[in-house]
Amino acid sequence: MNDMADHSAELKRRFPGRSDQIDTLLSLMGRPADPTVPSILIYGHSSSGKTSLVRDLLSTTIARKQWAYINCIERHTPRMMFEHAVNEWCSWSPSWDNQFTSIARIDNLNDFLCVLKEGVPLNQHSTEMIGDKETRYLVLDRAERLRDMGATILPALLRLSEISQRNICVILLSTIVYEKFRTKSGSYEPLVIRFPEYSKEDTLQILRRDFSEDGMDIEVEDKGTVHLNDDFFRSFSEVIYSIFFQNCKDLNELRHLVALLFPLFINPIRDGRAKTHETAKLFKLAQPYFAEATDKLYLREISSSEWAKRTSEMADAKTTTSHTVDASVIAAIRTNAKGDFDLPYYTKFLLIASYLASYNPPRFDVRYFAKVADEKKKKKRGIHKSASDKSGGKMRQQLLGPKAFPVERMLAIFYSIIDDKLDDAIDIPVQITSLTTLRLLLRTTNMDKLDGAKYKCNVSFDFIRGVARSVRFEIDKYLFDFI
Amino acid sequence: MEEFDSISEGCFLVMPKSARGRPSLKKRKRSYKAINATNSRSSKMKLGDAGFQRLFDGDEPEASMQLRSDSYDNSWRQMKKVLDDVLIETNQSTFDQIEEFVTNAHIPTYASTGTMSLPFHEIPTALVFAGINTPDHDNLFTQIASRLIGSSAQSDMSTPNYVALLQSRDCSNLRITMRNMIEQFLAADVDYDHSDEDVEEEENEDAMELGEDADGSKKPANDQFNLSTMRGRKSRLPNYDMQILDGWYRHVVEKQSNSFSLPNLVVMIQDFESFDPTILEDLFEICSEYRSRLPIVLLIGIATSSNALHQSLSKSALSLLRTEKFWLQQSDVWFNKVIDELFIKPTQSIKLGPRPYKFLLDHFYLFDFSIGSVMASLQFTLMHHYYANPLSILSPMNDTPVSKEMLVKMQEDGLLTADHATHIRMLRSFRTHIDDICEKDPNEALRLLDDDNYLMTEAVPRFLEDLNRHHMLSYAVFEIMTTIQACFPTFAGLRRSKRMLYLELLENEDGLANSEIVRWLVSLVRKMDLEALTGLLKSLSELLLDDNESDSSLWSEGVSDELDYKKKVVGWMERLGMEEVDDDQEEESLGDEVKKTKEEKLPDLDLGRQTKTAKRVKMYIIKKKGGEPVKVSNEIADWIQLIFSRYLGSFVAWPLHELVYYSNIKLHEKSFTPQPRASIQTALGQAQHYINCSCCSSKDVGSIQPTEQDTSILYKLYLECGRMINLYDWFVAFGCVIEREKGNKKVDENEVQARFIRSVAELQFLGFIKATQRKTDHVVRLTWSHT
Repeated sequence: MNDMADHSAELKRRFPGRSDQIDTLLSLMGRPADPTVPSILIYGHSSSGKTSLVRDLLSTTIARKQWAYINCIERHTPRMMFEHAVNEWCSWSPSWDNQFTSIARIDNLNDFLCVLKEGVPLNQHSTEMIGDKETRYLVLDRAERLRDMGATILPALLRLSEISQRNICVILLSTIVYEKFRTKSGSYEPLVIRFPEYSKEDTLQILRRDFSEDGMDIEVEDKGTVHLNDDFFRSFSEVIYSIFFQNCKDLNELRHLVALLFPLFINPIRDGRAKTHETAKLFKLAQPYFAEATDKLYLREISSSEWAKRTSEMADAKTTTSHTVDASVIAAIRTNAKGDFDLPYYTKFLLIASYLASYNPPRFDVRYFAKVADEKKKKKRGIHKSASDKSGGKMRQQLLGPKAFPVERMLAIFYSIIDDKLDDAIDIPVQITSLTTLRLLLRTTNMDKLDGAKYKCNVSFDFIRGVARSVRFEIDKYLFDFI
Repeated sequence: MEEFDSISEGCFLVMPKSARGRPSLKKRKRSYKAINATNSRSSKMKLGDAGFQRLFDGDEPEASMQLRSDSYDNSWRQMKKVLDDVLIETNQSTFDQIEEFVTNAHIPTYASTGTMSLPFHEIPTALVFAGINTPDHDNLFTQIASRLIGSSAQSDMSTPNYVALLQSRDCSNLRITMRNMIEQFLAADVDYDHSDEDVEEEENEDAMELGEDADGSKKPANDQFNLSTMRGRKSRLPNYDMQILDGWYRHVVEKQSNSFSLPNLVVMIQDFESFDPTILEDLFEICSEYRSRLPIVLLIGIATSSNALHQSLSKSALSLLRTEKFWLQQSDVWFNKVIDELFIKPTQSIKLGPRPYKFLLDHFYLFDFSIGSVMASLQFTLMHHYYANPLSILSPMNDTPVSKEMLVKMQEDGLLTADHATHIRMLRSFRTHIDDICEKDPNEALRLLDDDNYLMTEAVPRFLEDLNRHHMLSYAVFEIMTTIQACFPTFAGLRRSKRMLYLELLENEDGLANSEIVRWLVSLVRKMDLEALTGLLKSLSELLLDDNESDSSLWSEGVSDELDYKKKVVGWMERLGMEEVDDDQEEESLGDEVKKTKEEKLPDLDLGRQTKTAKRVKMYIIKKKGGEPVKVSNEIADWIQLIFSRYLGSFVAWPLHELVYYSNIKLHEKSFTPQPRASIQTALGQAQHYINCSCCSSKDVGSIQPTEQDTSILYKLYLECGRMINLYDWFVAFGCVIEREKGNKKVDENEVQARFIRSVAELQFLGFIKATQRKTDHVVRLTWSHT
């Protein structure tokens, strides 16, 4: 038992803020041969330590052979899942030498139960019996995927020990609550353990674990090296935490940001503009970058490698002309979203036409696009509309998103907004298809319905305005929302 | 009439047994051949020589036909080479960058720059932006793939890579995607050969399950046939299991333990936009899971912009990627270079006449940006030129124009016949040439018309030679023109791209000789000041140097005085050079004051400042104005005016230009911009064009002949209807027409009805009518036009 206490202390040290959960799990497991609950569901937000805790816990307390870990995304069919589980329980790994074979062929749940009952013949003489004495564990990560595998799999797994009459405990890991797992036919309820969000203290402690224990030395201009200790990092991570904790609870995201922003933060120390203890000053110096870049970093518009390149460039250039470089880096961050790509001339018009078709109500088509418009009528209508529109601004199509339109309507608009006369050749339909493969247009009707195809335009207003400008087409004049 | 009952005909393609079914592992050839094969499956079809026919009603000598077919092959090969080379050349640097990225992807350089490890297992990912024309990407990505594989073969220093190229059409779900990827990796390794077949067996498994066990070693000791026999059997992993890849990779690494760097596994996702994002998310997740064991590098081809990535992938999937961006050249860069290489430069190949050239331009810029369709169009041009034109044996080939000796030899070999001579005489350019010279030189004209031998061996080579010279000269002058144009960057509105200038050169009757742009350039040159002038001369002499390397013969051939370009430019340079020296001296003597005033410039002078320095400056400027630069600029302007008007004439003026310029646009348009609806309407409205029978060919388009095809009759009646068509009325009208055919004999009601219904179904199938719920016994008319 002393052994057990050691394990639990060690685990608690490694997983701050998770001691309750560790205790619960350990007490549920008991001694190796004890019967256990048939199934446990562990849920909590992503990056709340579910997977790593369970894996660590199992590997420290019991033999590797006793438990199997399965990621349900990777093992996406029942066969892969079951075969992998049995392989792990028998310490068998498919490799080149054994011609990538599994220890047993298991196609479905029934086969799996048979294997559990009869055991797996390892060779001529011995057979591996599963769960006859000591508890075997089956850890299913991303368990929400189990729901897609078939109606019977999940209910059966939840009471696996009962139907196989073996000592097996199934541990499900998921980010969603058990309510979402329930099926119509009902099933055995697992024991639910929730991993709550980390507190501030815990978060800071975990963040600090990324930082090396005995601090780090950095080179400073002229003065050799400066030692950064734990406290320095702690103050840094506190700052980061205070900025982001309201918007981002995801621990891994925080770690991501901390790792990427830290080099920027210590830059002033490197070139001697600030001292290590002047946290406020350091923060002020780094502030502009934080403000510009964090959303882009968070949304991965700037990837970590691009960021690393940028910051190292900056660190190199710092020595010479610091201010201009700063400005250029910020500018570079801003323009990073280089999204322009060219389209052929008529394809641009096709896209514009579909945008108009998506965002204008069809009843105004005559008004905008008829070649010989009835002037009087037009004016009257325009006035009438603008009066009513002022109040109903909430219903603007721009805010509601694109509507589906029949392709004939779009083509009619297209032929009306281009200046030249075009032959009715194959090119136009071909271009519609290629716009669809580029996902600039979305087809809303089924592919096998050839008649009356409908599309939606999938581009933003900014994008279409750029396109329209490049062909000198004033799109604002034709948009219902902008009059 | 029975044989014309439908304008389309269904047929069933029964593939030979061996080729049926999924392209299996066995079929996939080793290494990147597999990738090649997937991409060029369709381009394998080749037109053999057999396609060529003997012209002149079959009188053409066999050898001439052979010659045409060979020349076609040759010239297409050459052209194809140019096209491919340009493509590779334009993307060379990006390819290099990508290769470098892949090589360094898993070498931990990152640790040095960052201070902390990142929480996510990020997969190194290259985003390759390849332009919007997705069909062209096949070619590009195949090239990238073969480079990544090939890099290992060239030098043992760099990391060898294994590449799997995934296309959305092969990846409809996760299982197939995984299988596809794993198979491509494993196929790269020859050693996996022996197990290939076993994996395939897996496909049609189950059959053997009940029979004797394939690997008999795994039978349980007590030979009973019970359930456990099946359960206990070891079985191969499903072929979409990552563990196979993992195990295989371990094996590969063990085998080549001598090498210090580990091979990368490159997964190329060619058309990101067409993939199902959920599949990709799962794939990334799995790859990330194996990241510590397998050095996977992703290469994602994106046609639009990185927004596409952010739009379709979820946050969690995005955070698994460590992206870097690479831009391939847009295809119009390629296109411009190709035009330069193939048409503007005086190469010995077929050139496009104005309309096909315009067609090519328009189609590329207005519709598709497609490299593939440009290639197809050019190939079609060549094919048609050599296929249908008997005179194409006289077209230049193998980089040499047809010389006199060759023609004499051809004559002796019997390749040239009287028919060829007749054909030449029928050429429009030849006829105008005769018209031109018949007054001046009637003897010559007569000889050309009478003497086959003289025409073929003397005149034709001369004509071709002249045409060739014209190309050389007009190219040189064209280059001068573009250079001069480039000297006026401020007049961007008036500038025209090379391809448009060339279009104008082709289209106008007298080329560019009297065009707007020439007048504009000449007048601008006249107004040039000293600085600009030196710049201009500098670039001209640079051009000259380039020319010297390539076709020095051209100028040294001593064309004519005004083109003694080299001497002239050097002369002007010298004169301006003198001027510059003077300038310096003067400036020195005037000292700093002048420089200051000079900066203030002319307006002050006009106000009539009376200071001493101002006067001197005025003098200076007047002196300069009247001085050498003005003279030189005038001279240059005169000179360019002269050479432009003389050498930028149209190709049409030259006899026999038809041999080099391909101008047949009709067929081209029909082949590349088909108009399906127009053809269907013609087929129904004026069926005689298609059916070719005598009975239906009435002059009057509107009338309905009873002998016509049923659907045609119905279609013509349809044209008279409104939006809603009453089926019964339609039927009665149809019946009346049918009755006329039978000579007013009563027709069997059932027959009429059957024929009516068949035709209605056909019209519906063709999309002319649609059933409707709105009105009973009515159909909706769907097309409206005036044919």
